[in-house]
Amino acid sequence: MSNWSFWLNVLTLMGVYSALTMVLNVEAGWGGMWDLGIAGLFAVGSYTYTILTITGFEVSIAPGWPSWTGILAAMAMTGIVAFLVGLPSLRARREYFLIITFAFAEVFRQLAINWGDITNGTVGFNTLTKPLSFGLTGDDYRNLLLGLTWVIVILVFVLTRRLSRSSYGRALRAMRDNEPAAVSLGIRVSRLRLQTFVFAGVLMGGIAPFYLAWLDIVQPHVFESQLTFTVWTALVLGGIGSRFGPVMGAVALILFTELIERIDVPLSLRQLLVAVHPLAIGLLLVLLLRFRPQGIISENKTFGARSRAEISILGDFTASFSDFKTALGRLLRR
Amino acid sequence: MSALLSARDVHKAFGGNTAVDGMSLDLHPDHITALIGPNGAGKTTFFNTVTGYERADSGSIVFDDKELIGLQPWRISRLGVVRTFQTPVGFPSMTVWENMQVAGASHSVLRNMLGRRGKNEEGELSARTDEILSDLGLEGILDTPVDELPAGERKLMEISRQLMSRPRLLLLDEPAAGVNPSSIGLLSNLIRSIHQSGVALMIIDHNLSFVLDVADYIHVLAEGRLIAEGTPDEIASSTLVRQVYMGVDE
Amino acid sequence: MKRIFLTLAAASLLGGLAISCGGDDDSGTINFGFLNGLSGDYSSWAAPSLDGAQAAIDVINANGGVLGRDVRLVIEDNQSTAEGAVSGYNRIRDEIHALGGVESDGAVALLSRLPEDQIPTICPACGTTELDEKGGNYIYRITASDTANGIIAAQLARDLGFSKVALLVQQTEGAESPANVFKQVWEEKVGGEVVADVRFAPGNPSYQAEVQQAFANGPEAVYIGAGFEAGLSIISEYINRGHEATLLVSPDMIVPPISEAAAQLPTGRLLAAVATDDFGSPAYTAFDAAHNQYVGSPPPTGFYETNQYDQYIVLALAMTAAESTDGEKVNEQIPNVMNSPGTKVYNYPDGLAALERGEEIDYDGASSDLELNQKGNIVSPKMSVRQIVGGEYEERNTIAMDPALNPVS
Repeated sequence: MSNWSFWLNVLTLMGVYSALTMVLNVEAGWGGMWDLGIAGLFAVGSYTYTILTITGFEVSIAPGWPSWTGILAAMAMTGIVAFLVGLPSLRARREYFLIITFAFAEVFRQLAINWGDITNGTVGFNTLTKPLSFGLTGDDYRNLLLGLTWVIVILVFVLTRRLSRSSYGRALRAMRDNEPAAVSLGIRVSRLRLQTFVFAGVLMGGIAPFYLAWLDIVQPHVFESQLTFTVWTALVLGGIGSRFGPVMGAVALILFTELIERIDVPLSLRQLLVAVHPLAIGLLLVLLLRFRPQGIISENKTFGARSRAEISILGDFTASFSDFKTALGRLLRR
Repeated sequence: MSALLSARDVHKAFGGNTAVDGMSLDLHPDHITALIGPNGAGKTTFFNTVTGYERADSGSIVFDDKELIGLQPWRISRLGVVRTFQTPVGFPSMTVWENMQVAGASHSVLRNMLGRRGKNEEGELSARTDEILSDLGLEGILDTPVDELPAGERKLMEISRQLMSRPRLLLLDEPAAGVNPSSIGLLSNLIRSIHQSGVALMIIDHNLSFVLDVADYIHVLAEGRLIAEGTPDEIASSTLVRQVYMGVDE
Repeated sequence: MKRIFLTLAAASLLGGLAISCGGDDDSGTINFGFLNGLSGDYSSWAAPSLDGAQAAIDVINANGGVLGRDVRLVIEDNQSTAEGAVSGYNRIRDEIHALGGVESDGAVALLSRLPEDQIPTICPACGTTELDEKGGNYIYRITASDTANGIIAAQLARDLGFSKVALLVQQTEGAESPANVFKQVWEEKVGGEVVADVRFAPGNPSYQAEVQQAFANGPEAVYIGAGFEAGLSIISEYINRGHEATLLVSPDMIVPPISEAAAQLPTGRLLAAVATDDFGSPAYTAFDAAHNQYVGSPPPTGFYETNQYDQYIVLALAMTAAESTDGEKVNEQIPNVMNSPGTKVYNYPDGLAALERGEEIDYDGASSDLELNQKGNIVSPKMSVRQIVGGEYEERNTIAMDPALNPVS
């Protein structure tokens, strides 16, 4: 059954998650910072945007700004919060960093619940101001939104691709691979980590309003850890550290989820199906890690000889994809 | 003849164990200097205190009129004091070319994301990489990931990479360890040519014949103290050194 | 794959253009969406809810369908979350002419969407206070709201003669909304005193400190808004500590584990008020018969099954009255077929007949009399006060909500 509403919905979601996954890839894939606090920073961006742009709610701050200033403010605020969170937590490595960011995300959610004057508590907000609507409503806006999210995907992609091919990107990967050696070359690791964390925060803050335009509500429960794990799953699936992997992972994951949703089962089996869903994704990940631990597209192939060559985005993509096809072929011949 | 690096009365202890116990030495740029001594004598700890990886408990280490003790390692590296590591892991998931490019680059986000400066820098680094690697006859391994290199080539790559950051003083931590004996001569030549290009050198190594061959001036360390210094000939004939270092009991 | 990428790029370029698909043709079935928590938190309600909905569809089709066309139920899961509701809605949107089955999360997430898409929607199981002011256009609520639940608890406390109360409330939207209304009504409309207002995050192993705090200043009654897990732990703490204040508990706590845990309390110590079906009405009799005939069993109670049934009868009648499946026209007719004045009807065939005679109708449903205010909310839901006797909940009496206490006029 192919109807446009369905695809509009799926493609928009794919776009939002692709963008988020690419951002996570910068910090976790290249920077080695295992951030489990995505939902928290995403919440900061979401609430900042909503509070500054919302109308018709009785909360103590509601200036009713136009959406584009809301987006900029969300980016700025998320960046600032990322800085404040990063300052203490980036001293920790790997699993410790992971636990701290996870805890911070929960702190932000609890803050959203308890700071009712500003966040409207557990009720939250609905009928939000749509980002960059240009006066469009209804299906017209939703078509525009699809365009906007994929424009963001392209922007984030170009930005992260450029980053990955720059000495900044190489410094990130060097730091992740071997911190003492990176330091011996004059790389200021603490600053690089903080910069990257803030950079990722700013981008997340910019993506958040477009997710809200899709969802149309802001409530604390939207920012539960589920969101973080979805983005991580997409990243692992697509290939940690690759350039196209995050988009492919997000697209594949959302498609997989929607396909499972579409399976028509009797009501009595419905609960089972939904319970099986995370299990199926888990199984997918296990199989992937068994047969292709580097994900759909590998970091090695993404860089390797290609990092030295002048290569266009399209050329890069075609090459990445042919790597994937070769790997798939090898897998199938087994 | 003035010293490029002067260490005075450097102490470093881990818990109750004194690793470096009042070391003082001067390093002159026109010598290839070596630091030898048995295992646990404190050689690597001394390297670590110079490069900031360990903070000395007391004493002073002055490089080009700047006190190094208390500075962060990245800062010391940017002053021109660059080290290698005993096990040259490098950045294993990156190619040799990428490893080389990491060194010597500026790492500002904005400069890299915008503008032409990033591009210019990249071209410059790339040319330098080619130059250094072709001098070593290693052009063929540019696109090889470092974790696929044989140990000897990895060692050479590590030294070349550190050269990319244009050090004024290069501290080589066991450069001969793990190198095929037939390639030791090549390594000695490399070290001499680095020195001739104007980089001051200090070497730690176990391999006495290699050190005696390549170094101009040698300090001998035992239990955290310097017990002797001199030219290779003097050291080779010193009874004390033979007793302590080679365990020869005469 | 390359082509897909290009398609995506093309799609984003086309973004500004309106592409409208779907639309309405005059043939084929009329499709009523059933967007419900088939999985997730609300899934225990799903099966009886669907039975109620299906009974209505069968009744409608047995009486010639709507506008001479058969009616079909398009069933979609919303996973009991807002995200699930948005995705689920998008999956079925192009197929459906009207929507039912939604709960609070979904209704709120779709609040601005439904009028845009002109999809008339009835919410059979929404409590959220967000609909108090925002309903009444494309979205109508035919269940007692959290506001009503909060008011009725305050009314109960007032009628029992209390003056000092405390609140002990879990921080979830469903629990806090009625609690906030209770507090507001108690202070502003009843003029009583609130001696403590304790909020807690759900999921703790124990609530000792919270219980102690709530009961500290000598309340005569304590309002407990909690899910049954937290509720259970609070009740046992209450019993262990030997407190004696009357407990007014939220409808979520009307479940067997709570009544069993509170079995040793004196009758009347723990009270709960919940919207009740209009069991004596002819509409309930019609619903009961339909359920028996089509589902093959008598209906259970307390699962919104009557509301789920009523919503499709209402939609079918409104569509008949509008003589069209056009969303805008149906939207106009929804309050008309539910509210007085008009010929009182209690089932679908009678409603059809009255409409055919050109009369205005006033459908009174199995769940309530279905009189709506301007904002699409039930004016005076009928509530049942429950108490525990011998470890089981039973009805103490029924009361009608006192409209004078409603903070939303």
